[in-house]
Amino acid sequence: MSTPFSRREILQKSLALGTLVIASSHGPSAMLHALEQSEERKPTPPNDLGPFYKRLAPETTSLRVAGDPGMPLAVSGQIFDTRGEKLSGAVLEVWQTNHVGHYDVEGYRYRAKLIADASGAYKFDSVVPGHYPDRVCQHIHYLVTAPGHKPLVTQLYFATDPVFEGDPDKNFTRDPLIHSRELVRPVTLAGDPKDIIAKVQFELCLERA
Amino acid sequence: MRRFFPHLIAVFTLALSALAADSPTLRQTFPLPSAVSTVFTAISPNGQRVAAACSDAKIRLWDIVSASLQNTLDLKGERPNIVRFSPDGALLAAGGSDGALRVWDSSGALRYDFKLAAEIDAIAFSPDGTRIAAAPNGLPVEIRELGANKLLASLPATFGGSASLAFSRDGRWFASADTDTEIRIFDARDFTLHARITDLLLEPLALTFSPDGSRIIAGGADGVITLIETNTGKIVKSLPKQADVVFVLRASPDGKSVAASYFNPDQISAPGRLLIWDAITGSLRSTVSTTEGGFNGGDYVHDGTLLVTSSSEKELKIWSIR
Repeated sequence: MSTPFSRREILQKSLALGTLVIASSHGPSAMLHALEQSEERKPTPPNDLGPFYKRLAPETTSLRVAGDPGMPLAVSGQIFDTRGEKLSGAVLEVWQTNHVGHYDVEGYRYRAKLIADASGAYKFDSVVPGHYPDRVCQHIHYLVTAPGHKPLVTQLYFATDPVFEGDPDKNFTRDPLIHSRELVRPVTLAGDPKDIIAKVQFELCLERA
Repeated sequence: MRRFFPHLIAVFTLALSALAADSPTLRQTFPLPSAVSTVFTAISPNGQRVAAACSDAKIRLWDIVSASLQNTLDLKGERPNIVRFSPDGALLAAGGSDGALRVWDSSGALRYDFKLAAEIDAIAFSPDGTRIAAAPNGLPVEIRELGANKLLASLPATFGGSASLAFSRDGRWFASADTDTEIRIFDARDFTLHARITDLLLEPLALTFSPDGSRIIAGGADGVITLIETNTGKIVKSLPKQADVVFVLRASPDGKSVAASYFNPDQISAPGRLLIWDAITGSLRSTVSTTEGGFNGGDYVHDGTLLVTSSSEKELKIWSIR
């Protein structure tokens, strides 16, 4: 049975009622802050690697180059572990199709290696991928590794994918490979009307080895 | 891997345009129940039976000579991902979309019923049929001793799992084509790692041993079939690169031919191709391409004949290529 309270709510109630017995010289607010800083997280659901992973992708944050057709896309996020610690130096490999659903297997277009910064953050620029033949949804593949943690293989999906017809909560299972709604991320549009860019946040959480 | 292309093996339309020496001839036709098609098949090593994973999640087992349906098997409702006969044909194994791994004997009696932690992408029998290896998606390959009904070994984890597994026919070696792009060769006596082939940039999707076990034949997303010396793990030959992805590889019993099926990664629904290569010289012997039905499985049988299957909505056909 699931609790009706979030972890934060339980912490607040415990502190208010004095039932959380922790020897500390700090006040409840500081304690709550400290606890939240290392809040436990659920590992990101894994998803298939797919058949077009390619080793030795170049280290770059610019998958899109000037003149590339397709909707510009900016993806960013942070890498955590299940204890909530930010994984500085985590290595991400991302790969996707171009805007019409073609994987580059001869070269490294739309493939990149990224290194999470000191706060575990990463970002890259690309285009919204097209629909690959025989796959229902647009997606970006991720392989995330960090010392002392299990490698994470997953995929990012887009809530704006026409397949979901505006209701990813209801329709995310239209792609039989999507087992978790969590992997379908909201998309926001930014920029001038003539220069719109799609933005997506995708936080990732690795399990300890 | 197979789940990415659920209908893929049904799109190799059989073509009778091969060179004369390899022209397919129709061997048998099996009617299918209404609204049922076969997704992929396995041929018994003696060429007498065919097991077909069907669109209704059943596995139908036919006698090829009499065209009679012997059994209808299932994976507790799971979609079959892969079906394989043991090398002596006495056992049939199937792996499912939710981790079921079942083994039946030739009478159709369920002999073993395992549950793995994830969808099963590949299975392989040891040559004596006493062990079975299975690759759950994204997890370590597991090898089971069937008689003792116990887990014999769990191989080191790779980040995406394995797409194809094989034992050498002499029982000496075991190899895995792994999604991290490596091919790993193990000593099949204790499953210690013998060699890693790290030269590939893209994923190997298919793998088999030459009949004498001296070579591994592998192919995958780069469209290249690679011949690897088993003992050293060195690549000794690469066959001419194709624009399409290698999906299935079968070695002839005399070691002279390799049958390879390919698909176009950008047009998965387009007809794929079956190429037959000279395994010694690396030259192309013939191209089998097509018109009707769907070539959805096949293997070399003991007498050296290559049997392939094609499927339509109404029937499964078996063709032979010599």
